[in-house]
Amino acid sequence: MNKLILGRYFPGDSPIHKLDPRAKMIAGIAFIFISFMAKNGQGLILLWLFTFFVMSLTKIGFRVFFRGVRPLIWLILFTVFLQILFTAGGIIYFTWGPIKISEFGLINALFIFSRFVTIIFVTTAVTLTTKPMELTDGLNFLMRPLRFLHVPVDELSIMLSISLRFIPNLLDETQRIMDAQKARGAVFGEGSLFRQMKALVPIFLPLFSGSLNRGEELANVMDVRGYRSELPRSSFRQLTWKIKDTVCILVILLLIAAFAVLNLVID
Amino acid sequence: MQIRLNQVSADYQLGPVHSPRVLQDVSLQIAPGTFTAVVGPTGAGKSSLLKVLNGLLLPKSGWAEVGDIKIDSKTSKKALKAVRKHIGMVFQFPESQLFAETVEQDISFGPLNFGASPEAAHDLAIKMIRQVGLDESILQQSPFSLSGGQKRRVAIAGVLAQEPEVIALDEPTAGLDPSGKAELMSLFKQWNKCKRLTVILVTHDMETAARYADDAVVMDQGKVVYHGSVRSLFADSEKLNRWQLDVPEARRFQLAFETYSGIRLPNVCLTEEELAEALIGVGRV
Ligand SMILES: Nc1ncnc2c1ncn2[C@@H]1O[C@H](COP(=O)(O)OP(=O)(O)OP(=O)(O)O)[C@@H](O)[C@H]1O
Ligand SMILES: [Mg+2]
Repeated sequence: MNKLILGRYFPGDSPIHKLDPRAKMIAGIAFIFISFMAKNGQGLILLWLFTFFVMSLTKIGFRVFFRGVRPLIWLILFTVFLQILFTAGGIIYFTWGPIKISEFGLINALFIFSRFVTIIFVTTAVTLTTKPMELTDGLNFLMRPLRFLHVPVDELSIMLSISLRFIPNLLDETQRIMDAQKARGAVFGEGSLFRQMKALVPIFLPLFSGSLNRGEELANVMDVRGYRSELPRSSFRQLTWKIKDTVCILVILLLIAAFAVLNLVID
Repeated sequence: MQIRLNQVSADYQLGPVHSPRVLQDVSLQIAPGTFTAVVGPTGAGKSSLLKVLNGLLLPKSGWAEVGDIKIDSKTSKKALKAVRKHIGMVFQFPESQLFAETVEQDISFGPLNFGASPEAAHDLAIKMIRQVGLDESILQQSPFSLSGGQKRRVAIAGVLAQEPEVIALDEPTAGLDPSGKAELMSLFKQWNKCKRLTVILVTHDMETAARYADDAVVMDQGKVVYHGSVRSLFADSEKLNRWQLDVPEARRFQLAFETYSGIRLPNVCLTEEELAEALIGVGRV
């Protein structure tokens, strides 16, 4: 549980920490598209340079970022090998039945690998430097246009922020219940898979029932304190757009321009 | 069952971060068959102390000994399970550990884990549910349909059904009504007296500590600062002040009485009964 890096916040006061969550999220989403603009060697280098630039700006150790990649490493390696083994074209180095290791295969694999990893690094940089509450505020803002389609944006974001708020409680509660069942002789993580699954019942049932109760209590409390879903909501935390946020967006635009120029010139 | 702690230090690991020491060089010996109250301000490490005894929190340095099983940072899972068989542990708000379809299954969970036969577990369930003052008919109900107080009793019955030699109780009566509280406490006292069960009770309620416990352990900031008889603890107002412990009402009355009347009662009174006797004794002279 402690290994999960996604959705973790690392406190700090780096330039990236201080950016408006809206700017960071827009930039992060834009980067996903930008990574597909890298079509040649120079573009690839630019992609990596920008990624390491952002990572070092966060002032968080690179080890933390590498840990973020680890859960996805098998997926990445799988796609990379698929590319290497089944793409033909260019110089062919090795053939064995349908399997061909070719120049194009290796190059494609390199691009796919780079896209995967840089996207993960940059989005991790966004989530590591943004408080969960800021993320939901930012998301609320970005989803605003959906209101015209009658999507209940405010309700969705309050649901999200309440869920995020209760994750630490849920982890504590899990630990407490596990301790209590261990004290009654339960053993976890031993025996056959079936036995291991069965051993989880005494944890999950109390956890579910506790969460349901808590949810109901919370709903009642919100009712009593006058929460109405249909009224417009104001926010205690006001997001303010500053010059550095505009700079952040400009940097992203510059990056897009650079890739466009690279692609034009090289072709 | 003899319990010993030798210079135990412990902390909680939160990912790569360690919490500050929650237990620091704690050495303690609890004799078999005693009733010990563990008191102290919130965050002093009382619950953590119980977790060490139960092998849920392993010492970073030093060791604990339960009977002839030694607990340190390298103790095997199997040895820990043996320790847990001997120490029944009732956590703060134990009702949150209920999970089974019926009360009977829930009470049998512990005994079955520790190797009792299904028949034995069934008999134990019936015996224990009566002991905690509930009706046998409740055994077939869902634990989730019970009231808070009933749930608490079922959870306690589940722990007692392990037939432990030591029970460690973490504020077992918090949030119960006064009569339920007295009932449960006298149950623990009775087990302590008749079955020579060692009882370790964490409590914030000095009345309970004074009435039921023989010994007291006072904890403050992860250290044991007092271990001795309850009576000598409550005799020493200066110590009580230092650790911000309440004085039981009878004792408070006694102190006020002695100041106003100038008469000293022959002994330290911890309960109303003792106080009444002492006062009658003084009146006769
Ligand atoms: N699961 C945990 N993870 C991290 N720190 C913890 C955990 N449980 C307790 N602590 C810390 O350990 C210290 C001692 O806690 P403990 O629960 O032992 O105190 P306590 O004496 O039982 O307090 P209380 O009277 O409030 O129950 C506290 O500072 C607490 O913050
Ligand atoms: Mg506690």
